[in-house]
Order: sequence, then structure tokens, then C-alpha cells
Amino acid sequence: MKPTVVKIDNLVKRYGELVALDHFSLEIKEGEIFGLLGPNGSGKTTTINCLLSLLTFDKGDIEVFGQEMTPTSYDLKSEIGVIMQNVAVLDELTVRENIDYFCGLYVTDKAKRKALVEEAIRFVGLEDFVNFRPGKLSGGLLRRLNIACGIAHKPKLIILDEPTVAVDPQSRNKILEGIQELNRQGATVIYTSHYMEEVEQICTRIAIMDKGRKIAEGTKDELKGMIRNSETVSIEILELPEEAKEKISHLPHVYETEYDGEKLTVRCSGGRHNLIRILGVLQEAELGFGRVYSELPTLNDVFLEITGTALRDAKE
Amino acid sequence: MQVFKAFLRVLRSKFGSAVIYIALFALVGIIMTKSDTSQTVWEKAAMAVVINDLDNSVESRALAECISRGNKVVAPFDNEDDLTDAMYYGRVDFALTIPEGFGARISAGETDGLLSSYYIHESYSMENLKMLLDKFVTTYTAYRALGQDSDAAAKATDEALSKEVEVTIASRVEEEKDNEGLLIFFRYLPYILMCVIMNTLCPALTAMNKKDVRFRTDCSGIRPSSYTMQVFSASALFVGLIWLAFVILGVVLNGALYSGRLWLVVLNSLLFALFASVLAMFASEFSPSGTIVNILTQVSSLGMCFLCGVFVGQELLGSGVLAVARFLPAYWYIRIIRMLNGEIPFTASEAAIALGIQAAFVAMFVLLTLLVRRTRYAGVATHRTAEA
Repeated sequence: MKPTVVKIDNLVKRYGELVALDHFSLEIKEGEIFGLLGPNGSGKTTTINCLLSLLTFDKGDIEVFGQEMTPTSYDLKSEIGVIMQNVAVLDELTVRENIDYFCGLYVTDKAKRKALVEEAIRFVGLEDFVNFRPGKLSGGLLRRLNIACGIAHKPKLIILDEPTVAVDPQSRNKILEGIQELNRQGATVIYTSHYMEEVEQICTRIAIMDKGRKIAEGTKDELKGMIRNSETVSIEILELPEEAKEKISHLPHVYETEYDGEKLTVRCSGGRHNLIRILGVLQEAELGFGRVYSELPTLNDVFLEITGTALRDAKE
Repeated sequence: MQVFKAFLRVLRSKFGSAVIYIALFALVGIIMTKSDTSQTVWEKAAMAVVINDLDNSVESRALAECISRGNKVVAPFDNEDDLTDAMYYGRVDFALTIPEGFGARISAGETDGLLSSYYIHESYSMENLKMLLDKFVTTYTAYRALGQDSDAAAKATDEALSKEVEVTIASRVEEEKDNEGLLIFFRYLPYILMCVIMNTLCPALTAMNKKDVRFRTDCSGIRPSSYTMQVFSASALFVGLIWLAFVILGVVLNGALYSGRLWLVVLNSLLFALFASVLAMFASEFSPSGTIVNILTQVSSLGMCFLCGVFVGQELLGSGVLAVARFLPAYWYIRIIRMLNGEIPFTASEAAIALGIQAAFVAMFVLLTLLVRRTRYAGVATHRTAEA
């Protein structure tokens, strides 16, 4: 069994009357890419800040690499790399100087640091921009610099707090591939986001947060297995008699049917031939239809079913 | 040393505008200290005076005699227009009319409205001539009051006013006169120190204290005490170099090393440089934008310099302004300069008080900075607070 890298036990953080973290617990094993998924304000960043001892908390225990994490745990902090939501670099320094500065906060040996800085520059693909100041970089390149500053010292634990906010798709893919590569190189990763697609794409295990509480935890398949929905069928259809809708809603495994005058949405739990059976009912009634989609459940469906609110709605 | 080096790099990037200030000040300093100050020393000059004696008494003739000593008496003009033209073109400086009855009135002890005069251009020599007229009237009436007759009083007055006394200003010793140019240089130094230090140090500290950068730094393995010490050391090095550059410039302009009381002016400038530094540190705690820093610099430097007598001498400022200025360090800085320049008496205790007050301003802003920092970072973990 792999050792535990991060253990958060019964964490409570209050801002006056507001409970930002409500008895939150978590355990992350070595080599995982652990996703913290939840809408804005759900407590992801507060969790990270408490984990890094940047914030005080009211109750609970935090252990990193088996040791209690405190503001003065400098040895533990040296093993952690942090990439914050906002780009945290010095505008007055060049790309290389920035990476060297933040790497130098962990690595004092000059020769070793130089090699690490060059490796980080190559890793994020900023070789052509080393003498540029941050103000001259695009949003995507700036995010890559932000990541390079956080990982240059080769930390064992990397914490990324929404690193892809306001990033173009190309840079986003590059960042996500980079995170997976860092993980392959041996780093344990904690990744927070409200983009469920990203979390699904790279995380080996996921905790879903809402209102300071952990509402579900597991692999993406385990999370999807927790809910009733296994398939959602959508059909564009301009006319749907009530009799046909009734027949569909009584098909095996169908538990919810919606029709808005243009599109029929049918949610199914389990079963293998749901789409064929639904289309069979429409053909039998001689009804014409347009495009047909069959979607497997997403983490949004998990969140929707558990909280009654869609992730996309909740984050607004 | 990583923070130290990075902070110096940040300072270097902010130093551009400060170079312009330093270059301009050096240029102005050279011009001011090398200018010939002997021209400001007044020497009595002969005036062209027209005396229209309508009284022709013993007293009026005695007055005319007095005026003619050291001045050039010009014959009266036939009409007023000619006199006006002569005065306009500088052929005549002063026109005096001694009215009829002047002798009788002055002998009776009257002193007001005895004479009428006319002149166009003001000058120190003109003031001297007007003083001579006043002195004649007061001296003559004094002799008459002592019981002398007209002739004796007129003669005694003429003798008294003919004597010239050589005066040496006791408080202005030769050394002070030689250092006048250097003291002018140091008089204007507070403005330039404020501009250079505030415009460079404040934005650099703001950049290092930026919330996200600070968070990332706090997440690293560096101890806060080490971080603070490195930033402090780099700031001190920068301020020290700036101050030293001006002190060396002072030596270059003076043409000799500092000696005697002049070391006070060096210490004085060091204290003011420290004050500008802690003010910059204090302002940086509020993370001001570049524009705000610029406004803050101009308001604080210009405001303090105008109020405290850097640009306009303290002797010319009103008591109300000076009462406010006492609450600003530049006032005490200028007092030291004035003492060394002989404008006010120099005493060791007064100088120590002025230096001490400046040091107190430095200490006060250090405490305020710590207080603001403590308040701003109140929510940040500095120790373990979780309940068991």
C-alpha cells in the first residue's frame, strides 16, 4: 500500500458566521493526481491555503508526508510546489530570473539551481521567451511561467489551484499534459478546478466539494457509479404525442423523460439497449426526428444528483 | 541571498526616473555652489541727488552738506518734466525738497513730515540714503533737546553722521562663509532624497509585497525572518549608496573633505534619507499603484519642502506655517542647516534636539509600518491555532 502524502482530518475553518470548511477530511496517497472539484466558493482554495499553513483554521489536523503541517514546517514546505490561481511572478524580472528567484527559495546550490531552472524552462516550453518580462507574454505563456516557478525545484507534492483559468485551449492542453508528465516523474498532485472535464481527464481520484463539505469521493467511475443515471439520450423532435412519451417513460431502465417542444431528453439507469428501444417507439408511431445523442454521465450529473444543482449553475 | 539579489534587480528596474532626478540635481548643485557669492555683498554706492532747498536755513544747509558727503549733488532742474526724465534715464537717483520752515520745525522738535522726496528705483543705496535723512532728523533734534543752539547742533550732527563704523558680523565666521555653497546644496537635498528614494524603493517593495508573490514566497522553505532581513539589507544598501553618492558629490562641489561642524550636515542628511526610506516602506504596505506613488512622492516632497523652508527660507515663512512645519522632519533638518550657515545661533543642545526629532520621526514610521503590516496580515497563519 502506498504511503499517505496528505491527510486532512476534520478540518473546520470559519470566517465569522460563514463556515468555509465544515469538518472536511481527506487522504491522498503517493503518486495520485487528486482532483478537488466544486463550484466557486465551495472551499477548495481555503482547503489549499489551510494545507499550506497560509491560513489559520479553527479545528482539525493536517499532516503532510506523515508530519504535522505548521507555518514553521520549513522542511515540509521545501517538498511542496504551489501553483496558485493567480499568476504570482515579479513583473520586473525576466522569465529566467523569475524561475531562478522562486527556485532559489528552495535550492541554494547555484549549479544545481541553474540546471533545474533550465529543465523547468524546457518543461513548460518557454525556451524562446527566457529574456522576456511577464508583461510581454500572452495569457497562456504567463500561466506556463507560473507553473515553471512552482515546479522548478522538483517538489514531491505539487498543488495546482485552478491553473487553467482564462487560458486558451492549446495552452490548457499543454498544461494538463505537463501535469500528467510531472505525475509520471513521481510527483503527487493535488488539482483543484471547477472545470469537470479537466478533472475527469487527468485525475486518478476526485473529491467533490460543496459549501465547505466533501459530498463525494472516489475514482471517476466510482463517482458515476454512485448515481442513478447511466445514460442520457437526447433526440431532436418537433412533434411528440403524449401517448408516445408515455410509452417511452415506461420502457425498462428509463426513470425520467422531458420534452420541451424541440428536444426529448430521456435518462436511463443501467441497461444496454436503451437508445434502440426509444427509437423503436418513435418509429412505431411513425414520428420523424433529427439528431440523436447518447451521453454517458458526467461529474456534473454526479454533482446535480447529489446536490440538486448543476456544477455550472452553482459556480455562478 | 536569493531575495536580496532579486530585490536589487527589482530596484534596478525602478531606478530609471531616479537617475533623471539625480542628474538634474547634480547639475543644479554645481551651478549653485560655483556661483560667485561675493556679488551679494553690499557696498555703499554714490547716488546722484537733486536737493531743492527752499528753506536755506542753518539746518537745511547742514542736511545738504551731510547728503553731499559720499553722494553726487546735481543742480536742480528748471521744471518737473526734466527732473522726471533725468530720473527715468538714471541721471538722477533721488530728488529731495527741503520745504520752507524746515529749520524752525526741526528746531521745535518736530520729526514727522519734514521733508519730501521722490525716487523711481529701489536699491540698498536708496534705503541707506533714506536712513541718513531719518538719522539727521533724530540726531539734530537730540542735540537741540540737550540745549545746544542751531549752529552747534548742526555741526555736532554733521560730525556724528560723518563717522563710519566698520562692522563685523560676529556669528558668521570665515568657515561658514566658505561653506555657503555646500550648505545651499544640502539645503535642497531633502527634496531630491524624497523623490529618488520614494520613487524607487516604494514601487520595488510594493512589487515584492504583492499578495500572490508573497503567498508563493510564504509557501516556500524560506523563513520569514530571513526574507525580511534580505529585503531590509537590500533596501539599506540602496539607500546607503544613494546617500553616499550625494555626500561624495558634496565633497566634489566643496573641493575638500568635510571637517568640523560640517559632519553634522552629513549626519543630518543620513537621518533624512532614513526618514524617506521608512516613509517609502510605510507607503508600500498599502500596495499603491505607480500613479499613486508618483502623486504621493510629489505631495510629500514638495509639500514638506515648501512648508519647512527648503525652497523658501524659514525666516520668510509665517508663524502659522512654521507651527505646522515643526511636526515635519524637514523643518528640523533645515534648522541644522541654518545653524551651520550662521542664520540662527548654533548650540550643541539645539543641534542634538533637531537630530533627535528626526530620529524620532524615523522610529515612529517604523512602528507604524509594523502596525499596518500586523493588521494587514492578521488572517495569515503565523502559528498553529487549531484546537486540540
